[in-house]
Parts: sequence; C-alpha cells; structure tokens
Amino acid sequence: MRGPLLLDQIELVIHGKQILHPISLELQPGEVTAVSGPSGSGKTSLLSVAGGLLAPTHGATEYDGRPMWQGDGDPRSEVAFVLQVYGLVPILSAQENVGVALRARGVPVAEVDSRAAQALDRFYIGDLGDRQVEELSGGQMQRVACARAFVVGAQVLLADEPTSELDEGNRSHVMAEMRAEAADGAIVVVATHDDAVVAAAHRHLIIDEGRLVDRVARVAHRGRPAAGATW
Amino acid sequence: MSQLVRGIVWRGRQTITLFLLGTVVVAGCLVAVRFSELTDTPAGSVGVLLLLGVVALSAQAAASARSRRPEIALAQIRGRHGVRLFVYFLTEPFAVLLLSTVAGVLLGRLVTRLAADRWLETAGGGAERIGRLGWSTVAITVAASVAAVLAGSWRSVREPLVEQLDSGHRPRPSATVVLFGQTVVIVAAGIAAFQATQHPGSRGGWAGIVNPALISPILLGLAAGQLAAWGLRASAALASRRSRGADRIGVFLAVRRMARRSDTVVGTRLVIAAAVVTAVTASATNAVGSWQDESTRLSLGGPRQYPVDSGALAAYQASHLADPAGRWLMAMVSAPDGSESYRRIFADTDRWQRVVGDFLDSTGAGSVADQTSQLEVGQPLGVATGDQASMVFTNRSLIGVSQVMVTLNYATSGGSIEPVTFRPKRPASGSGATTVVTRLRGCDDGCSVVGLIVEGFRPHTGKARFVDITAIDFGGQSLLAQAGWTTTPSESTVGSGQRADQLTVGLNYFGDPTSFYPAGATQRLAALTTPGLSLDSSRKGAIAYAVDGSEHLVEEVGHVTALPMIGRTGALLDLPRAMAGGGSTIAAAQAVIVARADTPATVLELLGSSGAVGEPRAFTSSLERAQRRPEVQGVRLYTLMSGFAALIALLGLAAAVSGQRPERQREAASLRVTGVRARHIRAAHRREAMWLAVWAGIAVGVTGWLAARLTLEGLSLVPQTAYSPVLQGEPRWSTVAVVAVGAGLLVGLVTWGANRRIAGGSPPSLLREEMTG
Repeated sequence: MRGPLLLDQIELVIHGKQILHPISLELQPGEVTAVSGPSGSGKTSLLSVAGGLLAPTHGATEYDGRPMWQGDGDPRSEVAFVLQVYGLVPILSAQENVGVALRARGVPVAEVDSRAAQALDRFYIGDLGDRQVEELSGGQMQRVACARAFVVGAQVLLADEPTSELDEGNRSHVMAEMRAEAADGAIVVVATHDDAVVAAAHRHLIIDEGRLVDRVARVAHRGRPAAGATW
Repeated sequence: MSQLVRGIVWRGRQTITLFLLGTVVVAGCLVAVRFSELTDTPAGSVGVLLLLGVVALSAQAAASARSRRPEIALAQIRGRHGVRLFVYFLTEPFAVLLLSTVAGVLLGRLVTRLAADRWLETAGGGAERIGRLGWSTVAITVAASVAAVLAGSWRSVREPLVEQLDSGHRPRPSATVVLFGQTVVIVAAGIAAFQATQHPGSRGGWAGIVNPALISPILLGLAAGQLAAWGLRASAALASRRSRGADRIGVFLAVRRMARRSDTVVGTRLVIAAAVVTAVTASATNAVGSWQDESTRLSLGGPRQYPVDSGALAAYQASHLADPAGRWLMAMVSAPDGSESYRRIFADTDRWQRVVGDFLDSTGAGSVADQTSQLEVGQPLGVATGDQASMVFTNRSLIGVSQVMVTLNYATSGGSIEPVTFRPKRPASGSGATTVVTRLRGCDDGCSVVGLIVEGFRPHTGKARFVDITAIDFGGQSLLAQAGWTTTPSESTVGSGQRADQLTVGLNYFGDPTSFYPAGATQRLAALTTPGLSLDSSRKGAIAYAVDGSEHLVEEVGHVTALPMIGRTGALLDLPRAMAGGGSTIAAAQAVIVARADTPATVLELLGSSGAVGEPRAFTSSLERAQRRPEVQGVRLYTLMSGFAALIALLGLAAAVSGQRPERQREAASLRVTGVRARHIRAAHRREAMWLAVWAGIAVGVTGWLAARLTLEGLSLVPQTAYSPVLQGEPRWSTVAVVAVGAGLLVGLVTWGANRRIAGGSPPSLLREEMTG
C-alpha cells in the first residue's frame, strides 16, 4: 500500500477569483472521504486539483512522492475520475467507453473486452455494453462512468456526485463498491450532496466558499458522525 | 432592432459564414448569367451554383439552428409558436442574407468586369451592367437562399420542446425528408447522366428547358458526395468491427467517429460536388485548348503562313525561288470542291518533312508526313523562266501544206493564261528544218505549259499530210524531252501524236485545229483522304479536281484524320503534279506559303521581295486570336462557375469543421480524463483526415471522369462545323487525377488543420466548466 495523497496549502485562483483558499489535507489509502458543501462551494475544484486536472495557484499536491499536476492537465495513470457530467465519449459504446480506459493503460487488447464487460456487470448494466452512451439514461450513463473509473484498479479514485442520478439501490451499490476499492487500498474521495453517501464514507469534509469549514474524521456506518471529531 | 444586431454579433462565426456563403452564391449566379449573356452561351450553368449554394446554405442553417435550440425553447416557453416562432428565429439569418445579397451584387459586378476585361475583347465598357435577366437571377437566388435557410432550420424549430432542452447532445436520426432529398439527388443525377448521353450536344432532354450536360456534373457531384458519405460510414463501421482488437488507439477512435457521426462528411460532400464540377471544367478547358491548338495548327499548316493572292503557280514559284533547296518554304493551295462535299488541299509534298516537321504531329494531320512519298506519282510540274520560245519543224513536213500555225498556251505566275504563236514559213526545199523563235510574256518569274494547238491545211487531193515538230524550247525547257503529249482521239487526229522526241500532227482539208496536252494534264493522281470521304467518280473510276478545276483520275493511297487548311473532310494531293499541264488556279482557291519557324531572315526577305506574298500569320498570334473569339468563351464561364463553386465548398467545409469543434473538444477532454494521451487523439484526428481525403479523392476521381465523359460533348464549348476538328470528348485521366488529388488534399488539410490542436488544447478540466461545483 502506498502513502497518502497530500494537499499542501493549495490555493486556486481562476480569472482573479479565489476558488479555493489555502487547504491542507492528507487523504489516506483505505479511506472513503466524502466532501460536501453548497453548490459552487469548490468541491469539484478541490477534486480537480487533488487529481491533477488543475494546477494549484499556490501549494502542491503530491502522491507517492510525485506531484499530481503533470503539466498538461492529464491525470496520472494511478488516478481515476467519475465526473459529474460523466465525461463519456459519445462516439463509443458503453463497453468501449470502459475499455478505452484499459487500452490507455496498456492492458492487452485481448483482455480489454472481457474486463470491460465484467466492469459493466459489476454495476448491473452488462446488457447495455453495445449501446451508444447517448442512447442511455442519465442513471445508466452515471454507472458506465463508475464502471470506467473502477475498472482500472485506480489507487486514487475521485468521484464527483457519482450517485446524483441513481436510485437508492444503485446508490448503495456504488458506495459499497467504493468502500471495496478503499478496502483494496485505494484513496477514494467523493464529492456529494447526498447524506447517504456521506454516511457511508469513512471521513467527511465540508467545504464552503473554498474553505474547509468542518471535518468529520470518522463517520459511522449508519451515517452518524462520531462525537468530538469536528474542527 | 438592438436585439437583432446583438444576436448577429453574438453569433459571429455563424453570421460570417452565412454572410460569406450568401455573398458568394449571389455573386456567382450573377457572374454566370451576365457572362453567359456576353458570350452567348447557355445560362443554365447558373443552376450549378444555385444547387450547390442551396445545399451549403441549408447545411449551415441546420447547424446554426441546432446551436440555437435552447434559445428556440426559451422563445416557445415565452409563448412564441408557429409562424411567430419562425419569424423570431429567421429574422437574423434573413437580415444577414439581405446584407449578403447587396455584397454579392457588388462582388458579382466587379468579377464580371474583371473577367470581361481579361477575356473578352469585344466586351468594351458596361460589361458589369445588370439587366433584367441579371436582376431576375438575383431575385431567384435570394429566394432559393431563403428557402434553403428555412428548410435547414425547419427541424430544429419544429421539434418538441423536450428535445430542444435536452443537453445530452444526443444524435438525432436523419429525418425522412432529408433521406428522401438525398435519394432524389442520386436519382436525379442518374437521370441527368442518362439524358446527357441521349442528347449529346443539344439543349434537349428535359423538355428543352435544361441542358442535361450543364446540370449533370453538379448532380453527379452531389450524388457522389452522398454515396461517398454512406460509403465512408459503411467502411468505417466495418473497420470498427475489425479494429476491436487493434492495438492502436488512434485507429480505434478514428473509425468509430467516422462510423457514428454524420457531421464529419457534411463539408466533404460539398467539396466532392464542387470538385466534380471542377474536373469537368478542367477537362473542358483541356479539350478546348487542344481543339484551339489543333484548329490553329491546321488552319496555318505550318508555323508561319504567307497568303499568296496570285494563285498556285505564284505560290509554288515564289517558294522555289526564295528557297531553292526546299528547306524552309512550302506552297499549299486549298480549294473547295464544286459540290462542297469535300475540299482539297494541294501541297508541295516533297518539302513536307523539312518544312512542316513536327508542327502538325499533335493534330489529326500528324500522319501525313509518313505518307507524302506515296503522292509523288506521275510527272511533276515543269516551270520555265525566260523570255523566248522556239519551235523546230522539218522542212519536208511543211512542203505541200499551207498556213501552218502552232499556238502554245502557258500559265504565268501572275495567274493568267498567255498564248504564243509560231508561224513557220513554207521552206524552199524539203531538206533541213525551219526554226521559229517567239518572245514570251510574263515568264520572268516562271510559267508552265498548258497545251498547244496546231492548225494548217493540206490540199484536197493526194495522201495525208503531217507536220513534224522536232523540238520545242520553252524558256530553256525542252518540251519534247519527255514523252506524254496526248491529244483527244478523233477522225482528224488519226496518226497524230508524239513519237520519240518528235510531235507529228495530221492536217485535214478544212484546217481543223488539233490540241495537244502535256503529260501532266491528264495524268492519274494520288490522294490521301480523310476517313469516310466519298470521292466523285466517273466511268473510269474515282476522280479529283486539280488546282485549275480539271478532272483527274485519282487513286486513294492512304488515309489521315485531318488535313491542314481544310480540316477533317477532304483530300490531299501533290501540288506540282496537280498543276502539271493545268491552267489558272480557280478563283475560290486559297494559295499560301508556309514557312518553318526558324526560317532565316534572308530567305524571308527574298520571299517578301518577290511581291507575291501578303502579311504572314504566325502560330502564337493566331492562337491568341482564336482564344479570344467570343464563341469559344463558354469554357471561361465554366471556369468562373467552378471558381465560385470551389469557394462555396471551401466555406461549407470550413464552417462544418469549425462547427464540430466544441463537440470534438468535449470528446478529447473525455478521452484524456480516462488516460488516453493527446498524441493518440491527434493520431485519430490525423487518420480521420486521411480517410476523408482518400474517400474524397476517389469519389472525385471516379465521378469527375464519368461526368466529364458524359457531358463534354454536350457543353457547346466550340463552334463545330463539318470541317472543324472534333472536340476531344474523352477526358484526360491526368487532369481528373490532379483535381481529385487537389480535392483530397483540401479536405485532408482543412480537416486536419482545424483539428490538429484540439487534442492538446482540450484538457480534462475543460469538462469542469460544465460542472456546477
């Protein structure tokens, strides 16, 4: 198991607007961290900086001894994202969307289809593999986005509102899968408005206007924060 | 109003594209119709630009309408429906079209003026003036543009609110009416192509309204574009299945994009259509250029041509005096046949190889050079120069006869027939000979014998009497040295004729004259004829008429496709042999001297000083004059039309690829967030551009050749007569290939140029801008 994902005094200013104020965090492997806060509070920006999609204006993000920001906006290969807008490729089918992440990581093409199909099965959409993603409903697209992120066995999994379009059953399943990923040693960070997701996380961060205003170090499985754990 | 201006400015790229397209379509149609008026060529070519313009404008309007879906939805929510919604949506594009019409009229006038100044020597001022036909064309073009915008926007404006508000960028299947339209274009192209083959060179076909040859190229082009689009998607779909196991992500992505996105070929279709029109125009330009070159070469016969007014003998003699060795000058005479069924050309063929050289090699007369030796059959013309002639009679033959008179007729190089008379005196005894010497007139520059007439009386009783002429000297030329003097057989000419080097003439009681003709006057000639030529015939066989109009039996010794000065129907005979014993040149004949391009100045000065020749016509200047003739300007019209078609296609292609940019950026960002590197996405874009280029090139190559093959003969490119060279209706592969490669490169480079920075410029954070947090 590798070390934590470190955010050291990161700040983000875009077009003169302070999106994130200095934030320092240490995100541990094996933990699911929920980040919640009002819309526009900076959740997505925090995930983007943490995952190396955006360069922090000040400060640094580091994982496994190397910076997350690689200079071109591409995430490192150990990182996987579930984007709020899914980020699916419209010219590809559901299975190809999942498979392309494997191809990008050099998985032998002979294995790609079977692993992609397994990933879709994992989210109960194996029968939709040949469908163009544009033909899927919002919830189905969201599960394809989850399958694509989960299939690569990422060490850092960053999910932005991964359950916003899902019914309760699927939401629980996705969270269970996230915990399973964490159990395998991944660092899992979920931006969410959903209390159920927060409840399923090991740790809860609250962000407002670009600042961390509250933190729950441990979250009970039933969704109740442990006493005295806030700051 | 302010909202209208704001909307026009806000949609900068779309506004500019629509404005430019409208401007080019109006200007192109106006130029086409005005230029067709100036050159008296069919105005139907306007239809080409109108069709292409309608397709391009409707595609642009459809793209613009798709991007305005949320705005249309908002207008619906605010209570605008039906006509009010259309008025709201179309006010902007119609305002832009109005502006583009004004700009198009100004541009059209400017281009018309420049083109007329450049190409039409008879245009003078006012070429750009727009008449009733011009304004009608502008009105029709604007109406068609408005209809195209309305049709292109129809679907997006009429679709349900829920679809207009869908932000999922879901692809809509093609509307039935669009598929129907695409099918109609393909069917129409097939019908037009069939009509073009059924009515080559006519304006018949569809009730005589539209020349199928004019409209076929654009219909075939549009059909080819559509078929190429379908073919591209089908082949990409096939490749998608085969590339499931492909290692290379670039191929994997490229084939899937082409198989699943129809917008990639929108601009390419326009380029294919315009390029097919260009291929036909280029082939037509080639064909007309070759035709003009061949016509000019054939009309001249040699690199330089000097007219000779005094007839065939003058031309022949002037060329021989100025160039005795026969290296630089050659006389030629063309003469119409009496029946006008064919024309004849007479040339001093002994000089052909040296003087004409390879000048006619590229024409239908190219094979003449190899066959001229077959024409040199029989006695050639004998030309005498001098001022006196003499005739020797045996005294024995003059005893017992009275009033003997011999008239020798000869043709002068001045074109006249002159007689000279010999009257021998009765000798004192029967031994020895009597010589009569006479002065010649007009033989300083050369003359040739036409014939001689012998008259005289013998006594009523006694045996037959014959006058024997043992020598005739004509300007230093012995006329009895060669056998061949003949006379018309009759009762009075029994016993008359040439025996060895003596001419014996029988006299009768009544003094009837006996005519003799030199050998050449009745000799059989050889001729090269054009295929299918039907020579006149007599009881003895085929005949041809010599330079003086006299009949000669003729033998066809070979065939050539065309002949200098007379074109593709006629016969070529050897001039010296056709003139031998002949009289003056018929009035309708045209005598010339052709000269090599490198003829020394001294030879030309000598020729000029003879006074026989007029102002020369050189090949280059003659070709330039031929190229400026109004009746061959049709190809200029097609060139202008192709230029405007290319502009429309280029604008359409640029608008299409730039319109795809936002979606491609999202796609690239989505791929990069999964770990696909920018270089792989770039490779996919590069392969896609290459694939499009190859398909465009193949479609243009095949369809361009087919369209040119089917329509060239029907385009009324040159004035065709029974004698003019045939316009080459077979397109050159090389020309079509150049256009096809150019079209492929254009599609490839524009597509690649527009997309090559997308991968690197679309980081995953681009998707963040669409996020809410």
